[in-house]
Amino acid sequence: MRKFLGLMVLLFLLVSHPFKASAVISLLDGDIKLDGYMRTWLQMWTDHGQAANFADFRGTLQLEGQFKFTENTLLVAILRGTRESLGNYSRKQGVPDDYFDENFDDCVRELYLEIKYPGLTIRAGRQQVIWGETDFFRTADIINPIDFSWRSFLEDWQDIRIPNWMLFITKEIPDSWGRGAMEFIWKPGIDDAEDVVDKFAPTGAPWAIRPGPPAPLPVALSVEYPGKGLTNGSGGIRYLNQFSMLGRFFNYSLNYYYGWQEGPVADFRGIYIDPVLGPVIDLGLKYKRARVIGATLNFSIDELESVVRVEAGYWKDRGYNFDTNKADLRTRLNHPEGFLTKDLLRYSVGWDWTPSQWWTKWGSRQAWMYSIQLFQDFIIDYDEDEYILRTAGYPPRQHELETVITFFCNGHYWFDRIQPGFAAGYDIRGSWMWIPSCNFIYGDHWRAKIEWDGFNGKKYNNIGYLSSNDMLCLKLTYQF
Amino acid sequence: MSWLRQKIWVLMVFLVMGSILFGSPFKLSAQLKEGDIISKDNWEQVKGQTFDGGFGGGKIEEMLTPKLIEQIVNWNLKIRLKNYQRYEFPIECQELTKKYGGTYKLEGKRLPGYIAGIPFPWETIDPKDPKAGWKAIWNVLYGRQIGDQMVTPKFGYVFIDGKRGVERMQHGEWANYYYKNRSKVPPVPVHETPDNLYSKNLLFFVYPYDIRGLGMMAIKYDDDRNQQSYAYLRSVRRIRRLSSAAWMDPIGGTDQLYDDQEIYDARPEWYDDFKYLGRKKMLITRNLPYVLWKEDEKGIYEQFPWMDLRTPPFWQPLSVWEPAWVHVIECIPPSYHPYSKKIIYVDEEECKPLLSEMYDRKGEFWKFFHVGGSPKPDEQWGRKFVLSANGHICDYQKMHATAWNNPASFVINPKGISEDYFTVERLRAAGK
Repeated sequence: MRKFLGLMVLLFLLVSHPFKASAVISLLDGDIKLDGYMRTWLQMWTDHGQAANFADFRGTLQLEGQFKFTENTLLVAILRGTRESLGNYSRKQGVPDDYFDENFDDCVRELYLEIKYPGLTIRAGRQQVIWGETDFFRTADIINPIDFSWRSFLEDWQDIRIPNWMLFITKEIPDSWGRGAMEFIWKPGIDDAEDVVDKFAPTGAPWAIRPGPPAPLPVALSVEYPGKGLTNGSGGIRYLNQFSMLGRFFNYSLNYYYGWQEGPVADFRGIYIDPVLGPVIDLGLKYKRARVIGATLNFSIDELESVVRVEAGYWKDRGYNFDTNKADLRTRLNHPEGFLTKDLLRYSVGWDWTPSQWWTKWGSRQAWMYSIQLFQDFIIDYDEDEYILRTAGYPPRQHELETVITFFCNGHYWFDRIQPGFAAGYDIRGSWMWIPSCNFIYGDHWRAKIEWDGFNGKKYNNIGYLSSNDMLCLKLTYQF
Repeated sequence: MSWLRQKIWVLMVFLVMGSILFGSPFKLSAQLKEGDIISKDNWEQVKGQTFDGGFGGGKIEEMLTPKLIEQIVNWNLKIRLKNYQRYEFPIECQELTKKYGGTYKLEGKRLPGYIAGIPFPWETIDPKDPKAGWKAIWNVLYGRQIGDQMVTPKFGYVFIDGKRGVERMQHGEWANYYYKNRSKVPPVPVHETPDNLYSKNLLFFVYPYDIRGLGMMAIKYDDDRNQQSYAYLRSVRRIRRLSSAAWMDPIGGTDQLYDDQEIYDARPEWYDDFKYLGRKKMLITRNLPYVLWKEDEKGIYEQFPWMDLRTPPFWQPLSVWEPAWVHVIECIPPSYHPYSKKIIYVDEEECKPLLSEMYDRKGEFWKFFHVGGSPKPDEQWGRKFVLSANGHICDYQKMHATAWNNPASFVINPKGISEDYFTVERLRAAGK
């Protein structure tokens, strides 16, 4: 609470500073720049029998500062405070009262020093680094984990990525296209344990994944996050460049990353007898190392007013649980802990289309953008008899090839002041989502958004796990 | 009687002298002078008058286009007269035109092998030549002199609603690097590249918060290929490749199309035709000061003293207009372009379009574009190059306009910046 009050006082001092109303706050001849926003979210369930059932209310204050020490040295700080109040429906599900208060402890979101030399940029500190170009789901974008507890994958990713402490070096490679670079990443393992992997909302809270079937016995669950220290650090390298072929320019990148798998595997440690509960399953959630070699490619097909994007990552020894009741005996004997490893080929193909024909613009002056993406996971050496599962011990089984297709389009009306959009996704195992939305812009400071998130399908898969999260979201922002 | 006759003579002499000194309703053709303002209030009175302006100008009505007169009479455009001030290209540019100008030959729509200078010196263009329009437009594309490289550390878009006034603002940064027609910064006159590059452009937005960090980069070729386009999206913090085919789409929420930048910014090969409509004396907005946005002022009216933000339709420039020779070109875009035609008025000395009228597909008047030319010494040698100090593109159908005014900060041929500055990675570095 004290931190929140502190931020409010800081905000008051900033907005009461005699700066021009229509500009970034700029002090000391532009060596210090400050801006940010205040935002409120109101989310209402729309699929729990009672329409407009209040789900949660969130308020955020974000302050961003850039402090220029010399021409080549810059300190960037992003502070964020969030308070959240859950609706009655959620509380009934037993979400800890103080769960969302924890968000506020994460007040320093990003804090890094950037030093530039000709052709070389060094960033050290807590930050986000992004590889890849996909929307909704990640293929190459695996450096920072994501906090899905806010609004799953539907929020701007810069707001829900979990920043990590790291050293990030970019060496540009001069060429006539201005596209060549080599990047190095090193995470020394000083992040809090929970910040190294994806975070999900607890059962019952908005955007919690659908609970799996009940266990036959009580479960004693413990989570083993990756530890701190150099040996638990992560690192990666990426090379980017461009080549020309058949009259087109192809941008590509090659990358290798050694980090942590974003989600856990369940480690079955046996059954013990509790004096009160009787037989109890001793289950640990543990995170495995990720070794990913990947590549990306994109090119423009101007004749079709399109850009094609391809991304692929080969995951070595990715952990998967298997169904201990349905897997064959050999699997169960060889892997008594309940999980095994498989190599995974994960790839995506995206097609962005910005057509100029009048009928694709829906009455707008500006072209709409239409984007369709195909995501596929292909398990190498897949064995039906092993009956591996998708996510940390939850059904359904992971098939050799899993496919998700996404689509979105957005347009601009009234000189950008009204921006409608529509997104949809389909998991071929039987679930889908559709998300109509509209952004409104008023003057320099006010922004509003209305969005409805609809999910359907009973399957426990990439989209179906969000069924029962149909929600209307209203967002109001004052930026300064 | 002789006494009375003498009095009458004295009175007549006074009347004649008074008329000369203070103006007279009997006068048929009076001279306007620098500083006089033409507006709808005095239009009927001044339209037949002349303004020499040190140029041997002409009758006001004849030095304005019908669309400018319509704006004066119906849309509160005010024209403050200024005497002619000669602009000469930097000596190196003149020498390049002497060396290379007139040595090029059109091949259909194409102008292969361009190196430097004005390709077809204006005096060599014969209005009767069926290719005169094409020669003139190649002059516009290649001949304008805005430095070998240029950085605008800050510019401001003002979005204006024709009924309610200022709607919102956007601030950005802008930088260009040119590979052809280089006159000062080595290598000159051409920076050879294996891929026949023409220019690289960087654009970053810095205000307001929701677009801060949005950056765009365009890599343009010196042939009819589409440019390569990249955008850095801060909301997802990544660089995204964009399709470059929609070169005739609006730039964001502005009233300006991509090929409206600097009034004309498309490869001529992409257009259907160009017609040369002649050379005429016109009043145009040139030799403006280069500080038109006083960003340290608090109020919006004080920040933009060169914009008439108080008077409907709130978008007219408060510029100075001087007489100069202008070449008029009618540009005929392809059938899928939003415009059916675009008429551009090119200042002969600056080789830069400063006025433009755009017509919709039905042939009806749609937009008017005012640009103010402003010569500014470059940072390293003090050579004067001409940049756009302001621009007002006004949509008379939707009653909306986008205007920009530059603060003092644009830098021509800046020190310490080379081609290496223009990389896609720069987008991410700038997009904090």
